[in-house]
Amino acid sequence: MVPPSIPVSQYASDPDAELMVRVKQGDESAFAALVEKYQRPVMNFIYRMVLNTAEAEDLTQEAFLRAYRAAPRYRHEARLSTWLFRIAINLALKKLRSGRLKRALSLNQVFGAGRRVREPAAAGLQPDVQLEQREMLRALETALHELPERQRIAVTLQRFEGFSYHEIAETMGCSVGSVESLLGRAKSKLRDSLAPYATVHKTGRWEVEHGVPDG
Amino acid sequence: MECRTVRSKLSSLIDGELPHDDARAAREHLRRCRTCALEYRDLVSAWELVAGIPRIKPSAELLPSIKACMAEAPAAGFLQMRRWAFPALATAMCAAGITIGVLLGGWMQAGNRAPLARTDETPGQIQNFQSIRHFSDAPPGSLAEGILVPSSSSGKRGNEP
Repeated sequence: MVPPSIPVSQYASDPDAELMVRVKQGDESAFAALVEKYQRPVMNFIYRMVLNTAEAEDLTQEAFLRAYRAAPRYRHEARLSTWLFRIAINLALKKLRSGRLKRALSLNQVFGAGRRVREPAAAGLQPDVQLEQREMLRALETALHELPERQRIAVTLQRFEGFSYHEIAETMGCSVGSVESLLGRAKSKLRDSLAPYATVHKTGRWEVEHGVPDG
Repeated sequence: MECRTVRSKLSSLIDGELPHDDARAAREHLRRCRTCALEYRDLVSAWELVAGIPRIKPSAELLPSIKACMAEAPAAGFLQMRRWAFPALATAMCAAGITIGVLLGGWMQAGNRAPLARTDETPGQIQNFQSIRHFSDAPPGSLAEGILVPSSSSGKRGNEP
């Protein structure tokens, strides 16, 4: 599908535009500033797709290098973040479809050691509560991972990166209607998968124990 | 708004993407319809849970590593030129190959056609091909078989009776 046409003026206030102009002029420090700003969201997005910290970091590095090399061709028709995430999507999907990662991926790996996930503060909590938290996290990650690729992309961009439907549509190269549909189906699936935990959530226990999600 | 319509808009309502009037109408419906209100509540609960998934923290080495690769990477301008140059070069080579092939084929075809006599040629013209008379002795199945060898004045082809 053809992405919706978005007027250039909409991005006139994009704070990254000036940095990109400097990057085009060969200013490496400007690009380093962009990396510093976007490395975490890009890596988190890729991690949600590949569920492997080492792969996510490698792909994040590759995404930024591709962006750096492609900087002279970058046209300010879309926000820089949209452009960066498009590169990240392509890399993550390529990796997922390469087969090598498919074989390597397993849920054991997802929840294995060596993850640099910022776990919710567990200090002062009873062991059974901590266990309950870990189980809930596992259920959440599994539910998200079981979504079809395109739904997972839309959910990750909307829920974790705060993209609007327009921005998601532009990043994914589809219509806003498709994004609405993807997110609607994703929410229904997540509701079904997380029904037992949502009950706990409704009591407010999750919110109290985990605090405000980092975003 | 009907239940079916409202339910199709719940996701957009939750994300704050519904136009103002639609959002107001949907909320009004949710106040009156318990079934839709429960559906809305369940979706919101699941959606809020997902937002609680912890974030990955990049290692401290990521940024220096990217900077190092940037320094090692060839200049973007060179890569851009190369990206254009390679397809252009490949296209030029293909075009040159095709041209050479066509010319060579044409030349070879012309070379093969020369000894063949056309039916409208007069016996006198055919006499000009005396130089290939020796092919008349070519063994059957050889390349030379069938090539016209003019007989003295009848204009018959070499292997024709």
